[in-house]
Amino acid sequence: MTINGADTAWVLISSALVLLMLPGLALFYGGLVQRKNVLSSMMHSFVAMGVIAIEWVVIGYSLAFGAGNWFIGSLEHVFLRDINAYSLTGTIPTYAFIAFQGMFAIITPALISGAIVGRIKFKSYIAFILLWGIIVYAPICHWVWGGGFLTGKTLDFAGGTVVHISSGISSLAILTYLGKRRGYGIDSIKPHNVTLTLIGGGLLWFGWFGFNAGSALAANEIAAVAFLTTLVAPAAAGLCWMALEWHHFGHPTSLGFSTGVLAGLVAITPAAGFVTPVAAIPIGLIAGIICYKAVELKGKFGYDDSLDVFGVHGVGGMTGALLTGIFASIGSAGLLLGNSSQLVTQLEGVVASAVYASVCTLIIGFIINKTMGLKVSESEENIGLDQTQHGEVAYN
Amino acid sequence: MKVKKTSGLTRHSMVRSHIIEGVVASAVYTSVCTLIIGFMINKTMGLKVSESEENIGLDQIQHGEVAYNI
Repeated sequence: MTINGADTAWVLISSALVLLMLPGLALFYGGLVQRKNVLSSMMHSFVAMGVIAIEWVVIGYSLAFGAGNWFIGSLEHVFLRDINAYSLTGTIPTYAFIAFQGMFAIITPALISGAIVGRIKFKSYIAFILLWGIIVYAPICHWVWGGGFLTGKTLDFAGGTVVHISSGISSLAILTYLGKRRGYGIDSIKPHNVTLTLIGGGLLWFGWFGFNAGSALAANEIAAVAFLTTLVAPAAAGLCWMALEWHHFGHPTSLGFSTGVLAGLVAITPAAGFVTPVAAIPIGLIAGIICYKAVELKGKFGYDDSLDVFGVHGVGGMTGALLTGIFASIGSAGLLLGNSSQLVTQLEGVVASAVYASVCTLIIGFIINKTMGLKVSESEENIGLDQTQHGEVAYN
Repeated sequence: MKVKKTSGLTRHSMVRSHIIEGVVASAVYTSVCTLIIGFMINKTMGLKVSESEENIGLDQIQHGEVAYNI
């Protein structure tokens, strides 16, 4: 293959768009917490840009995309060894591919931070995302995209399994050690600034065009398919969520609509370049309904998935992965085209990644909890993490 | 682009007449249609909130939420 300028430009721009999702996520999460935890919540996203960017070029990329075996990549590209400015991956420079994939590696552990706001020690969070990036993200990425046992089988256009199932299920697992915030279920813990959340939600959607359409790794027809489905599915899911909330509680909240949009974005991620823009409508609607129900679960079971990472990313990711197996029609065939085996393969990917991510997260969490400790003290939690972990306050 | 050999003034006035046509057509069409759409919605669902709702604010009334709990 030779280098293609248009493809290279598109992937580089898409990489920057995906990075923009981190401040987007920081705003989305930061607005939803109390004023004493704003900066710490935002910092969880920001520090991931530091930690994982370095981890990725040192070892993550090699473990994910090195030749390796069915389970994990080799160490051949540690410190990007054997790759130079003229190396190509497909029609783009390997450096562009590494950058693009690195952005995915960065945002995935940052997504988990929404479940654990207001109670995790900052240094333990850093240790957690570093270990999680190496032990959980890199292998699952290798399975699905890097030549592992799911590569070429499980359809995951832009990371429904690699990014969303892995982070969503892990957010539930880590709660084993972190428990609830003080006062959860007793006092109402209200979002301190919904406008930040809406701006963040908008930036996430904007960045998601790079996330999904960039995953075509080329400036071509498939990128356009993924782009349009990334517009349609979140729209359908946002409207669906709004309607359900309106029906159940009498009000269509802005928070509900933006959460629905997020659920639609998650669900279309694995399907983005494999389904038609019209098929993106039922995908969005179904994801809206299922994620809405999933978010209600935490009230029933009493766990404090604070900002609904499991409900939206975990359940949305699984829903999207399975729906991809039903609606796939572009360069692939799903159940609706009579290929029922694809749905089974999708299920395999869901189960494998969910089981692996949750077991590893339990182990990583256990080790950090026993050594550094995961949770801040009661009084630190009361004062807030901005002050106790970072020595600063968001508002004066 | 190949430019016809007409005088600057003529071309200018041609372009201007096209612009005016576009402005008038779109302004008339959109205002008439908006009046009709607004009339229908107003007669069926109603358009404006009540006075007390307006006083309380639409965040609370329409969406059941508030922007800031700082």
